[in-house]
Amino acid sequence: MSQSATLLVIDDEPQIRKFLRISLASQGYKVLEAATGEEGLAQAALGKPDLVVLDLGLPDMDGQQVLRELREWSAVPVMVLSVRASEVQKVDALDGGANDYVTKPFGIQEFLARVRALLRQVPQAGGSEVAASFGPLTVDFAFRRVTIDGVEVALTRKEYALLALLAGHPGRVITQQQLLKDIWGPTHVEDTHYLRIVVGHLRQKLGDDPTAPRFIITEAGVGYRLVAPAA
Amino acid sequence: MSDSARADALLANLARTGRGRLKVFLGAAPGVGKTFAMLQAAHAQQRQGVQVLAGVVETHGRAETEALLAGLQQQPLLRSQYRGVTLEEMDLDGLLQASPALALVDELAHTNAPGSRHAKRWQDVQELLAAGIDVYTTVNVQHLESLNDKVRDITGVQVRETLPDWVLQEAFELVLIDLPPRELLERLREGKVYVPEQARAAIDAYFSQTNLTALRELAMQTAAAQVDADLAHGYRQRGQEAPALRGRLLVGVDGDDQAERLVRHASRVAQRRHLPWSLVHVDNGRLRDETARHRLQAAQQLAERLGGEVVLLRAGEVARTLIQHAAERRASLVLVGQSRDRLRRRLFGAGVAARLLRESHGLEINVLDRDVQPPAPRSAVRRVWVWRHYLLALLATVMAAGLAWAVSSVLALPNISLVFLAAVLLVAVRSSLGPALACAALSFLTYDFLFIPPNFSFSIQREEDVLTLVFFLLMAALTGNLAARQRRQLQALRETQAQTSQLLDLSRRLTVATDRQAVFNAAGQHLDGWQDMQVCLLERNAEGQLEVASGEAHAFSDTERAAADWAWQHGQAAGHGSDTLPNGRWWWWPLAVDEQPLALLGVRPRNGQPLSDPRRRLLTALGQPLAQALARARLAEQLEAARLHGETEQLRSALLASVSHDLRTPLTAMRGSIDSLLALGEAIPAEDRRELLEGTRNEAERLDRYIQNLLDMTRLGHGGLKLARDWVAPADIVGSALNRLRVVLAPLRVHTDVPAELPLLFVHAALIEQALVNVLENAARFSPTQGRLELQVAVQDDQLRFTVRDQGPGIPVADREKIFDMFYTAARGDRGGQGTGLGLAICQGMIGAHGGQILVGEGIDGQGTGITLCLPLPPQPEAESETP
Repeated sequence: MSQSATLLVIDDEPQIRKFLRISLASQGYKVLEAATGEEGLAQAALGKPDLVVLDLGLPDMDGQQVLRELREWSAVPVMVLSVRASEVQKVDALDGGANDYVTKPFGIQEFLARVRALLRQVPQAGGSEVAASFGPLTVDFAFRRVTIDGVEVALTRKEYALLALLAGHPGRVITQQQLLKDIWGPTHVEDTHYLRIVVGHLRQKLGDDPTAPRFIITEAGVGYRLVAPAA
Repeated sequence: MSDSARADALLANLARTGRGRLKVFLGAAPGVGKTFAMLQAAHAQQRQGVQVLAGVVETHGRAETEALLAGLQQQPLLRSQYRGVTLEEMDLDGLLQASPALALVDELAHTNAPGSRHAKRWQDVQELLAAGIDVYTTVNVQHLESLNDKVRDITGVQVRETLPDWVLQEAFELVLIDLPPRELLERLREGKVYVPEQARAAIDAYFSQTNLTALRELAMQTAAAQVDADLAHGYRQRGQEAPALRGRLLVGVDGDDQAERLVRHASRVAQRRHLPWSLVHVDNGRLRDETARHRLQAAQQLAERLGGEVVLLRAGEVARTLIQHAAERRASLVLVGQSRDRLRRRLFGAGVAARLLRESHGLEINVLDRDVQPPAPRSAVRRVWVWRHYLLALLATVMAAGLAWAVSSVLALPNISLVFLAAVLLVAVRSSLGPALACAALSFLTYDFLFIPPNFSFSIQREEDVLTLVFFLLMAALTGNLAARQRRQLQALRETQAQTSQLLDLSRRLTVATDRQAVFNAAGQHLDGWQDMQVCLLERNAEGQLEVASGEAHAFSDTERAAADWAWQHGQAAGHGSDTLPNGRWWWWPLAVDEQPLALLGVRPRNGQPLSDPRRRLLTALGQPLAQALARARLAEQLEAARLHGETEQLRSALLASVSHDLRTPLTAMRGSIDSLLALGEAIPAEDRRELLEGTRNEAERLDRYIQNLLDMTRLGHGGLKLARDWVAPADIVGSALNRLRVVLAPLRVHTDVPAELPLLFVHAALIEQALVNVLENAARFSPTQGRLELQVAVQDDQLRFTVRDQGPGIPVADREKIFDMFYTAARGDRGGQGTGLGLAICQGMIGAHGGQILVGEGIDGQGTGITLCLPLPPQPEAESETP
């Protein structure tokens, strides 16, 4: 998506809105602001933003409720601002229709990366993408091939499914429940150990150090995301 | 002499060692010569080689005193200015520093000048004593706080400079400096007593002969009281009771209606005369009804509450026993009541009181007259006509008659009476007095009818046979009476024995009960054994409602509840079989130690009959140890709560101190950097500017971590740590922790040793990560620049271990256990050395909540610190079947 996308920031803290506005504006985005849930919903209707940044701790309405109401008539990507150590809150938001989150306090680089990832997703007009690249890692959806620096990597079916799912939403978090449901089926939504083991194997095969993974990042208690390694 | 009293006395002495000893020279009024005596005593000490230093000594310009003072070393006084006036006070710090063996401090009750460390000189003296310095001091009796009113009444002068009594009571030695008032007045006239001019008029009034005499007596009384206390203390230390130098009061109590009144009177008299006192009851086996026993018991309990001793004696003769006992206990005063009302006294002669007066020697006897009271309604004496026993009497007589007839040919006439006597004895032993007497009468008649000539008629022919008959009747009655009494006594003894063994059993159970619930359970267990009644214990809950604490939950009717409430409120028995609200099925007995009941004992006889007297007596007797145990349990609870409260307070203040510091530190750096940038921005080179900005960000991250710690700590503290466990790969935890501390760890050389294949943990990931972050941060903080930091993950036994080793200064072995203690770390905060700060205490909480432990050991190459987080490994879940 071009850099002239419009972003709506809904947060009651003026300082946070200020630094977001300044940072986002410097990257060429247009920024709309709202301080309350009501105002935010109004702005979303009027301004037609390409991305909504929503703080969950709003004074007048619960952030989840804003999300719910928004989702009733809009599919705009939503990035949620949450507090650390409340994984339940994050999972609830993601289940409620949010697309990603950042934990406060957050670094601006991380934030912008996720914004970009979310904006990239918006309308994929002609079917899914053919391939996705994350630095040396390339996932070819058409041929179901995964290569690192051109060298093919042999993956089991589950490992590929996992990687493909993550690669289909580059830079975005996918909840572990979602992964388990899609790959193992709805009856296995509680079997997180399956996921851990597969991710472990996958990382190994991708040549990743588990303590400092380049590609698959663990979001503790929430899910995983696939990123391009930092330069 | 109880061991505990002896122990207390010894302990008190022990507490004194290490502390200086206070010797007080006490006088009735100024001018008696206290300072002089003190100086003389000081000189005596100095001659023995004790180092003496005079703190402050008022000579009032008297030559002799000054001469004495000159021979001693003096600590110069401190001068201070106050409102343009130069004031001189004792130099406390100088004395403490000089630390002599003995210090002299005159005028103990003196008020110090404003600005001094303590408001009063006696407080200075306490400090000297605490430092181990002995002190000699002087004080006038009018300065004692408790005597202030009396002195005002005597002299008309209200003395303002007062001294708490305990200061004097703690003194090691008290020397009374006494001077007859006349001599003192003479001294005054000769000008030998210092008197400030302004006060001369008042002092003249003060120094009247009567005043001085009264003050002199006050001083003597104070000294005497002190001596008494010391004597008692000394005896107690040796495990003996102090001999009653002042005698003892005995109050003789029976079961009549005057009992409680006597006891109260006795306690008042004893208090007035400062005498120890005892309640004495002589049990002479006379038949006593239940009311009397109740009254006696109530009197006994009252006596104990009021601080008297209770002595129960068994003897035949009341007065003589009392006199004997008084002699044994060296009692000086015996108090009794009028034992019979006027009518009876007139008919049968005076009772115990009169006999005491007649037969005692050297004893003071007080006889308390009866209260003019309406006579209490006589409770109907329930005669139990046991028909069986009378039948037995009849039978025995018939059999005796038969037997006598059979042997009548062999035995002489008088001897036949022996057979009937035997019958009477038998009946008396097997039943009570009534049947025995009936048997005697029947035997008499039968004897007369059958054996006394003319046979088969009631008339008596010979004169000597009349005597025989009369004597027979007499003997029958006497032996019957004796035998019946014996039987009664045996029954009473048996009852007592049963009671005692019940008490013993209950007491044994209660001694092991540590808290209130345990006491109730023990009581419940004990009382469950009784078949003929249901027992339960009630106590008041938080809402003030009575609820069942032990025993099955019973449904109580309104009357029964009302009776229970009444019993609680009035501290008396109520309910079934009592005078109050008797309509329910339950009888309530309050268990109380002081005035307020602790619980209610409820009894419901299964057969619906009111409780028998022996049972009721037993229950009330059992109530005592139960009440004591409950009181003890309650005290223990209160103590524990106070201790916890104290601990919580301590923790809270320690944490507040830590928080205040630890929050401010990063903020200070941030603010400083940003201020500099704003103010001096242009002047600072771009590189440095960047550094300042980065520094600000890092400090912000640090602040964030600290706040997270605080949050976790509050969660831990409230016990609200809910573990949301899930399967977690240890490598993920390590990666996340390292990522969060990227900046902090940047200047170090970090080596990680994480095997590729690690089992999964079933934990709350965020908490374990937080623990690891805290440990890493701690290690990083104390590592030297470019220092090495090792992080290792390993499986050992059934544990997964995260080990962090650094090259910092290390933790001394003695402290290694302490660093995870919230108190220790919170108090030292970030300022402390390595291993302080909240972080480690929180680690303990997090890891502990998962059932793990933390080990502290050596760091890299034997130096530094190594901290290991051990987590139990769960049984690994089944891997799914591999499908490619």
